[in-house]
Amino acid sequence: MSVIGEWGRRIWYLLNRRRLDEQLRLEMDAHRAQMGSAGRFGNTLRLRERSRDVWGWQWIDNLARDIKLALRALRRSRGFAATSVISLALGLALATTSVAVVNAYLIRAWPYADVDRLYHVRYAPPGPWEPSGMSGLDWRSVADVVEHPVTAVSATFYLTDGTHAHAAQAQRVGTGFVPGLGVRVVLGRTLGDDDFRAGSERVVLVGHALWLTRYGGDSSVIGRVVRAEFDDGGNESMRIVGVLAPDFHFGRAGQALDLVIPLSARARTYTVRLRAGVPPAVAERRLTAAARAVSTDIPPDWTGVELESVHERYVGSIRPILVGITIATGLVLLIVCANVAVLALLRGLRRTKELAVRVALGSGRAHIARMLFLESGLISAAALLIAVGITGAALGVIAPLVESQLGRPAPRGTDAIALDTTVLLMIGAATLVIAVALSFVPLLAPWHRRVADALRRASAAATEGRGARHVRSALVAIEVAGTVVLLVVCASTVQSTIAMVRSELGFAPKGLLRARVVLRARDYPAGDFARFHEQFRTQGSAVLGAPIVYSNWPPFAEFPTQLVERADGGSERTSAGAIRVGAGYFATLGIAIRDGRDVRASDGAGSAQVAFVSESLARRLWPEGGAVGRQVRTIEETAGGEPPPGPWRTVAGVVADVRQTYPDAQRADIYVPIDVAGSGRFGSFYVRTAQPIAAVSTALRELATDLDAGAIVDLPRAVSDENAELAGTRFITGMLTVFAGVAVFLAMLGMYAVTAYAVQQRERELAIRVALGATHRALTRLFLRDGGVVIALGLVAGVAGALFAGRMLEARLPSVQTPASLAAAAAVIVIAGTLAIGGPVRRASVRQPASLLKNE
Amino acid sequence: MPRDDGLLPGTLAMLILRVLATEPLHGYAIAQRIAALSNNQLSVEEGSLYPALQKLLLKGWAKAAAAVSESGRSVREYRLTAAGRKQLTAERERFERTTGAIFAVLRTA
Repeated sequence: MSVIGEWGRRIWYLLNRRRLDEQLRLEMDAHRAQMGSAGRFGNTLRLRERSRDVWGWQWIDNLARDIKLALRALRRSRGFAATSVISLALGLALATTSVAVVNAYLIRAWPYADVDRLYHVRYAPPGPWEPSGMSGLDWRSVADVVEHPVTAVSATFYLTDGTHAHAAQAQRVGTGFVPGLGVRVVLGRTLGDDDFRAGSERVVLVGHALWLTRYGGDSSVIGRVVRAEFDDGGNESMRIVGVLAPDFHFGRAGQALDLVIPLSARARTYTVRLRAGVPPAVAERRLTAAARAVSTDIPPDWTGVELESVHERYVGSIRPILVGITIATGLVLLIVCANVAVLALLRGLRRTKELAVRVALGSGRAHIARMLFLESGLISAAALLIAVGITGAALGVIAPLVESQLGRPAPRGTDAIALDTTVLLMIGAATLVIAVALSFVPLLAPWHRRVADALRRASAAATEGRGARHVRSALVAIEVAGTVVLLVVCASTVQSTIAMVRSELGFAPKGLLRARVVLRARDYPAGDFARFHEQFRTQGSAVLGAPIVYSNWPPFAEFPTQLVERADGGSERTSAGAIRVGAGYFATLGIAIRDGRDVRASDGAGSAQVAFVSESLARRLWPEGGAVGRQVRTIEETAGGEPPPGPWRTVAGVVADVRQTYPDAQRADIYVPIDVAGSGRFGSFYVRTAQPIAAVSTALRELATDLDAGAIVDLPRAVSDENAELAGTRFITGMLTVFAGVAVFLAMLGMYAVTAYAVQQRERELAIRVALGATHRALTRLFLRDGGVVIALGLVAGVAGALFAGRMLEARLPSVQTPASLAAAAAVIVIAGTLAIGGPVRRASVRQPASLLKNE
Repeated sequence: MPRDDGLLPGTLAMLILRVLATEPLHGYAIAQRIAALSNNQLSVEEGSLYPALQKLLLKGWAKAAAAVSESGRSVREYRLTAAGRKQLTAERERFERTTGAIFAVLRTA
């Protein structure tokens, strides 16, 4: 109690200390006057200081004074201060960004409660086979290890009670879903046991995004009834009882969850929450036994149920990338620090005289150390502020890029890639370490020795001691080594990007838009979706003024394969990618026709069945040539039993090979025109147009609604934007190029500063050499010999590091050509080193030797 | 150089508390009062007085209020608080116990 009161009074004193100090002064003056012999009163200033000390705030004044001193010292060397702050800010900004990403994926909590107890259940090793009867598994029998089975079955619903039809992603969930995941709502309530009882009212939880877009974030939505239609034509009315929290997601990565509906039937459970303290191995044994009890078709070599941590399943595959990027940013930060340290060391050498004067005037070592720490602290703090500012602003742009590169959203959504407390604490701690480390660097300069000697010297800069020289060389070597590693890795990614950009895709994505169209099965009881597709194609082409073409397959995803058989070649079959396409497909996608013709509108409707084959397939089926006019048919590839083959089709055209993905090995493709029987509910329409996406979207949606009110037209996307593989590689390459560029610049700066210092040290000698006729080239050689050793050391270390990094990268980037990258990196370093060393020497050699010597 | 003030170490705060217990006083008056009460045997040096007064304020044993001295100068008058009175009693008891014990030793040894 008294301690709190005391602190309260201390703070009150701090807030009023000017007034109180003034009162004390008046009080003492009065005292002095009353004493009669004023001289007997002690030193008023000293007395006041001692009185103030009682309150314990003296350190603030000391700190303020020292900060003032440090600022003054930094103002005197603006170049150093600016360079250090900017480079540190850059390094810290990169570090902050990668820490924010790592935090969002690996550290930050999931939108589920206690995610460490959530496990994915694998009933059998990956493959087509799973033991039957698992939906009948009795979870009560394993209730001592499994707290909640999290059962969910995904389904698509159609919400039709709005301006346009919307396909809603739904999960029908079991009773364990809400408690098992710790589902939270922002409005209303979650699902309770009553909602699962037979005969109870049908209720639904609405996803946050759907609530915002479809219901305008209206809180009166609770209690409203939504009508949702199933694909098979049935429909259901459900009462909205809650709105899910914004960060909640479940199911496929990146897919919005719109509706959560109680599941009445039994279903397989693929996620479980284990009880606290239950080891997964124990749960695996129990689940294996339970599965054995209900399944009838378990083979003898069945290895049993396996559990995989939900978190690990999600981030396991991207961890190497995240770790790699973190290492790369760590490397940049290390280079930055080494560089600032070099500059600080050189500055320390130049300040020997100043520090000697301070020591001579009675500054203690502790005080000088405090001053140096404050200088580096101010630099680091300024850099940290700038870095956090830059990162805070940039993350909004970077976060979606990172997500698309990593192929999955952050567990808590895009907004989770942000500067939260964890990130700020980590970066703050790193900055503190850097500040402390940097404050020790100037102490390496021999300021504490030979004070008189330092004062006697004419030059402001001291000759460095051996230790300082070694530290300096090591720092520059570290910079060079780190730079080499970054350059090599960067060169490798640049190579693979170039290889990707150069590789012939076979079609032209640029300027091509794609809109996905989904139809409802119940509107087309005969499965005649082609009726809509044909009308949409002809009328849409007229509206947009450019041909729209249909395909049942999206770009940048490998075609599903079927077996292809030629009529004149016995029963030999070959596997080929097979898709359905509409009229004008090849022309619009920019796929070259090698022989024959494009798809025509009459191809699907007519009785004469045709097909189109890629060059590769044509070569494989008819190596002798002349594919057009021959007959082929396709057979679906299935594991068990053979479905009836398709009809014989006449080859009407041979087209260029198409690469759906960069490593796409399957270039033998067959294209079959859509017809009444063979087109599905899902399709993509392509159009090559320069019109804005919004305009195209409006036109197509209006047209679709006219033709079929239930048709869903997704927002069109530029096909080139769908090239996630290239975008990802480009992103990594861009990032590494920035890293490498920063590294080269900093390494040059370090070498330049060191050489400039050495030149200053040897001014007199250089002047004599120049006077005696030494050329600029000869002088440069002089310094290159010294710098060369350091560069060579750095190169060797860097190459070793790069080879190690190359081994790690091999799995990620297919076309890493390390020798070329190594050579390129070495060349860059040698050129940069020569430039950085040559600069100061040139400056020295063009000065008049006489003026230099006169300075002595 | 510190003058010989005749004070036992650690007793200054207690003496100040004691004189303030009678009435609120300002700094100079406190010094005068202690000197007068001790027949000029104890003299409180300003160098100790003001830090000691700050300590009293910090501990909450006394409160200061603006006042005007006899000579018309603005000063602060220190007034004992309830906590200060309790502290005075406690210190006094402790001091008496200690001096009693010291006397006991001195008498017998």
